[in-house]
Amino acid sequence: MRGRSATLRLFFFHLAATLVSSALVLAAVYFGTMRLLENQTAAVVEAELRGLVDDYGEGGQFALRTAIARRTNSKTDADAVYLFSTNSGSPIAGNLLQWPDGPLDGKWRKINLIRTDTNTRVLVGGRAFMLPGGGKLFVGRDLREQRQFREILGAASSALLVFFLLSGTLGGFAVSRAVLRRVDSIGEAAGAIAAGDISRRAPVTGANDEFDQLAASLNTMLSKNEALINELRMVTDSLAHDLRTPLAHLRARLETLAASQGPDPAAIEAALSEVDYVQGVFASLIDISRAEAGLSRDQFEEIDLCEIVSNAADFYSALAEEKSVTIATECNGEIKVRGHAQFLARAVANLLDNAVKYSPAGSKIIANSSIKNGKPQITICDRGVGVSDADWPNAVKRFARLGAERPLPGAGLGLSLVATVARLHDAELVRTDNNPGLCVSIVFPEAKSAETASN
Amino acid sequence: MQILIVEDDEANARFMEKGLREAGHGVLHVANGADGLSAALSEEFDAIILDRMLPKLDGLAILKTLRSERVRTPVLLLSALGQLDHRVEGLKAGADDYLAKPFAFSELLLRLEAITRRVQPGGGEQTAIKCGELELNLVSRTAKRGARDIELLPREYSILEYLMKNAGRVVTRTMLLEKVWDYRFDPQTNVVDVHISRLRRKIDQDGDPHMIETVRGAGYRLKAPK
Repeated sequence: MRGRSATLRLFFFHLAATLVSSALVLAAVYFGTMRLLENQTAAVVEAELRGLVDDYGEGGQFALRTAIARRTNSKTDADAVYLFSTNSGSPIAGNLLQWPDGPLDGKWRKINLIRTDTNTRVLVGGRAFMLPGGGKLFVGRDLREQRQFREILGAASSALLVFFLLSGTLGGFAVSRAVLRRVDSIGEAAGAIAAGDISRRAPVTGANDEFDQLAASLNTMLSKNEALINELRMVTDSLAHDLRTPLAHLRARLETLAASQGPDPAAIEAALSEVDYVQGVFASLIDISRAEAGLSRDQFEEIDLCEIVSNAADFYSALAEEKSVTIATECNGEIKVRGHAQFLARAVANLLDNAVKYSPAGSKIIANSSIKNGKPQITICDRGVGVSDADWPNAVKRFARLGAERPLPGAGLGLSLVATVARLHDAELVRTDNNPGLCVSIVFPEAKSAETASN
Repeated sequence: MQILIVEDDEANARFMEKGLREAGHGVLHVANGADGLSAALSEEFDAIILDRMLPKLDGLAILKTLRSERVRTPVLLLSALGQLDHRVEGLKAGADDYLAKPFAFSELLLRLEAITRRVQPGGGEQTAIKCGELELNLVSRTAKRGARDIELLPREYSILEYLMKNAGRVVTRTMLLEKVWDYRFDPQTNVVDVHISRLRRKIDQDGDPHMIETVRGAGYRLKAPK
């Protein structure tokens, strides 16, 4: 509920601001209209007063009384009020009961008076005038129309404000509920993940709105994390599995040594080689992690792919020869790229190591370095059993094992390291079928070659 | 030789000290960077074994200070960090060699001997090396055993040259990987052994006495003439 109050609070703040500004606008309209109406009335009264004074000037008291009688009897202007009285205030003509109290200064005034024609007490706006030949004249307007208008305007404004309040409140609840439902669904997914269900994802409604975009980017992150967590789990499991055997052997050998009389050099050496194996696995893992983290980029230098491939081919040729396998190096001159010499050498060595391991006797391995479509690349092809498209993604994972048993020691990290080294160089690791056999290429990005091609 | 060990890992330091003393060397061990630097600046040593990660003063910082103070004592840098990455940094800072932990003691000893030998004044450019019946012409890059020419591939020549320059001393597989192929990593195969056995077949023929011997658990040694 704490989360709910945040959206609602925000919404009510907005609602209050809307209401206040609406009320201000309505008030401005109201007062402006009222003043306009009153000014119009005052102008009409002024004109009428002047007309009556003229009548009086031309025809005296009689003409004035006739004019007032004519006007009060006329139905055209039911709101007009008149009073012609003596100087002392006794009425002579008109439809008002008595002369209004208050000063006789000729200014526009609003007074409550009693009309004799309707016998009602009404609010009147009007002006008084001292007639030159004695007596005084009051001309005004019953303001009931204005009052009615004011009432209508007031009611409409109030209704409008109430409507704003109601629709705002309901809308606020509805919107905040909708927003919170989406927020809650994402929060729920996060909670489930925190509780251990790392495959949970934030729901995407398909509306492609901001929430969907948020959920989508969250999900991308979660998938990446899940992959990393799974890989880490796999590495830990595999590490535990892979190291258990050599550690068990080591322990057994040390126990035998402890129990034996004199030191047995062969047993000690066997124990040392078990330690070496464990050490090798660890060193590879550390190297992979460092390359993966991109920590090695500061050691990039200009290197020649041709030299790396020839060197590795030379190194493995001795091993290949023992299996009656030949390694053909294909390379026409220098191919310069910026890279990590040792990591690339190790990657190529791993590829050739695999190629030699899986090559049948009498077959040929091709170690090629070239520039294709402007992209420098290294390709190692063998005639072994190959790796199917389906198996490939698995093969480049850490501790991958194709088939139930790992046939040769040291495998499992080889291709994974190659993949990591490729990533470190923004290069692509490409598998192609050699029919039969496997071709693996490390394809470097074009930009790097363009930069160094002139050298 | 007098050797300074700057290493905070007590067990590893004892292990190195014991081995070095058994090999007939004098050893001073200090456990932190500050002491290491003052010892290296105030006393004469034939070599310094310097751990990279040290309390108080980092190994690389010590190395840089020493070199800027014109102390030319050979330094072997030790590190528990990755194999491939930190070497260059160490060598740039002025180390003569680099060894990743954990290591075999024999490897440490051989590398120490190699870096201390390096600074001894040499007698001008050599053009040939002789070792018993074996003779290497460094100019034409050819080899002979007695009167017989030995046909060597370029790498085989490099292996033999390295063995002959270190005649009588053990050369480890790691050292060969570094010198001949410039590989700073362990390829986890026995390829070096295969290269050595190919070289042996070319050098030793028709009942000749074997010249390259295998030293179990360490590496190879070219027999030096008596």
